[in-house]
Amino acid sequence: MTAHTIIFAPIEQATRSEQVVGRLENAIISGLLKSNEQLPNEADLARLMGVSPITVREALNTLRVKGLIDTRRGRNGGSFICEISPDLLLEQHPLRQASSDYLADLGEYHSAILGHSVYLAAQRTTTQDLSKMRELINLFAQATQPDTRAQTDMRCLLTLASFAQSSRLANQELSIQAEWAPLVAILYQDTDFHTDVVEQYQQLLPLLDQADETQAALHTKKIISMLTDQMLEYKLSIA
Amino acid sequence: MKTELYIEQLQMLLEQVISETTSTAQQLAQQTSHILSRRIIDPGRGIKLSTEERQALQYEIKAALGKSTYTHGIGFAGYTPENQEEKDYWTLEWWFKKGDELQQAKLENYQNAQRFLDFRSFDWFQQPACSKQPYIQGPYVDYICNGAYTITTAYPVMVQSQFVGVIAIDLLVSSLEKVFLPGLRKIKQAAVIINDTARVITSNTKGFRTGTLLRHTPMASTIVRSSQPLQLLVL
Repeated sequence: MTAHTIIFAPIEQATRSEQVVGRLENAIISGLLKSNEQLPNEADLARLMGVSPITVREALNTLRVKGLIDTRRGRNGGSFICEISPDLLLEQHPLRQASSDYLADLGEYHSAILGHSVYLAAQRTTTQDLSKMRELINLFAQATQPDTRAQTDMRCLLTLASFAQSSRLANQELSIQAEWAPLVAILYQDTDFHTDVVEQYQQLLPLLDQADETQAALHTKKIISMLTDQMLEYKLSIA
Repeated sequence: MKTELYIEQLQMLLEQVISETTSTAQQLAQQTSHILSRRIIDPGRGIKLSTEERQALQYEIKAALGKSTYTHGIGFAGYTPENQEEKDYWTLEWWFKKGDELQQAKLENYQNAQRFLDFRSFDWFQQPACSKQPYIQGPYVDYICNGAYTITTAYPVMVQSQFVGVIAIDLLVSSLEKVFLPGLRKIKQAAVIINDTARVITSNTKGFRTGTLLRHTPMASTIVRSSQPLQLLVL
């Protein structure tokens, strides 16, 4: 499973075209799908997302009208993501659009998955694994831009989740990150907050080194809770 | 003693799986090198497969995949850094078994996902890139290609003494279990198959969950410090 396979993964519920629009729009606004990136063709999208080609066509039309995608004809034709203006990006951003209870709920889910992953990882990491974790946290610490901070953060968490040796937990973490990444990217515009988070990650390392599963899990849940609180606070401040 | 015989048989089976997989990887790496041999390699710049090269490579990969009963997937992975004309590019020509068929994983199409996941950070790519030697990683969770708990055997592809990528062969722990369980069941004592860092792959006794490290258990001192990717421990 990659970030892209999650964006284009099967749509579950009854409502179709709106859900397709919603998922693609979210991915575009949050930068998970980049400007000038080409979407899979209609037939592939329909197959990947488990909807009819008509639903896909309808959704692509809506996205075109919203100015989010562009269709080019010819040999190298297809649907491409447009360059989105910074104002539109901020206005439409998921952190603005999402309700507080949605954010809190996402936080709880993330805490459950990552918390248990770290609980397992504490007893399952080798010295080599810990060195890798240290390196990744350093990369996260050195990142200066909000989106690189978010990216390096996600890599830390994904690697941590994979250290649990459970493919199910790691795949869930990857799935959660598709929603989580754009939300934290906004928070990392605040350098002081980024520094605080880095420090919390660094405090996790000795707990893993000592194989203290309970403390490591608790500390991880505390970190996720801290990030969720910051999202909720941010949301209140921009209302 | 019958048990001694069963233990020996299982040890030979473990060695067989490793040697078969490693020699297939080596052969494929050599074939890949041959396919790319007509190019002039720019040191450190990696390569991007032409259509003809890709087709020739696909033929060899599919042939190798068809021959093994327990292999899940095989592919070539390479990286080209950014230059003035083009962005960086992750080459991933990957084929895997789905039921009776061989399927191609269209992983190269999603370069942004590849940039995020960056297989260069995985040991199966990084180690051969640095040491120019084969490397076996695992078991580990492969969230880039198959999403499952995997052991990957990687062999560097060298062209004109330059590293251009790796041939990687994926074995799923779930498939290996099927191969080893009959032999494990014949052994009366508790027996565990571990990797070179004492991580449990499978066992014939509960209490030795796949993925756990044996260092935290009382018998840690009796573990033979071996560099074998698959070892049998009888307790």
